[in-house]
Amino acid sequence: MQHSKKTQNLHIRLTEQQYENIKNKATELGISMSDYILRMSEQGKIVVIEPKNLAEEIQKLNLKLSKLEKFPVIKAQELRDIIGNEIIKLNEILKNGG
Amino acid sequence: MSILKFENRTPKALSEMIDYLTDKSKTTEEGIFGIGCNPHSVVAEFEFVQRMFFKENITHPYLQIIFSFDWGINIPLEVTKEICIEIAKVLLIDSRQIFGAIHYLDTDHVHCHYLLNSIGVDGTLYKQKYSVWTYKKRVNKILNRYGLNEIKIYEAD
Repeated sequence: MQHSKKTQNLHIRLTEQQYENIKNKATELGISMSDYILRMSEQGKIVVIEPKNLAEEIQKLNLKLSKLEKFPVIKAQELRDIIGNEIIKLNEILKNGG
Repeated sequence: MSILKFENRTPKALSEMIDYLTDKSKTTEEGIFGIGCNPHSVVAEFEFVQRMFFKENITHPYLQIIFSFDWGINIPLEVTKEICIEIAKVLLIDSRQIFGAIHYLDTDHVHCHYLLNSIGVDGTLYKQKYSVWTYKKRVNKILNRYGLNEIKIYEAD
């Protein structure tokens, strides 16, 4: 898979307050300061998906539904597809900047 | 002899990889499965987790593991899938999604490709918890139960 190499450096001077602001926001999001600055510069915003355990809940739901697949009376795969289609839509929205 | 192989390369993008793994000349709808994810929307579900934790641009978005049955085995697809799902559970050591595709059409060497999401549903990056030796031992226990030939374990594992 091709990834562009990061070959350039940027050193910027900041006040203590500016530094703290960026640091706090990056920490809150769980990303690095460089990542925060790059995302803000490229997208102008950072979309946060909440609650943070959403991925975990979807995974659990998928696990439960897959266990029901052996019972043909329950349309478990159809339910999984409904969830899957919503994730596809959501993913597209996020891909396009939220 | 059965084979278990951890690939350390990600030569294709996730969507290209899924297209290859679900190729109609290699497998069918019955030959694919997902644990913690829907096999029909696996690309979006993996990417959604990665985006959620701001890891959508990671160099290796997935880890590929291949399990090959011994040459020329002749067991029904239903049983093959059951074994492959059991092996998937061995490979799944934390809260992570795994996709499997059994390549069984037009081959004497039935094998299952597993893709693990590099980012767990709790945002953690994949780390191989056990040695290859341990995984092979655990998979061999499953193979023994089904009366299948084991994976050879080397000292270096």
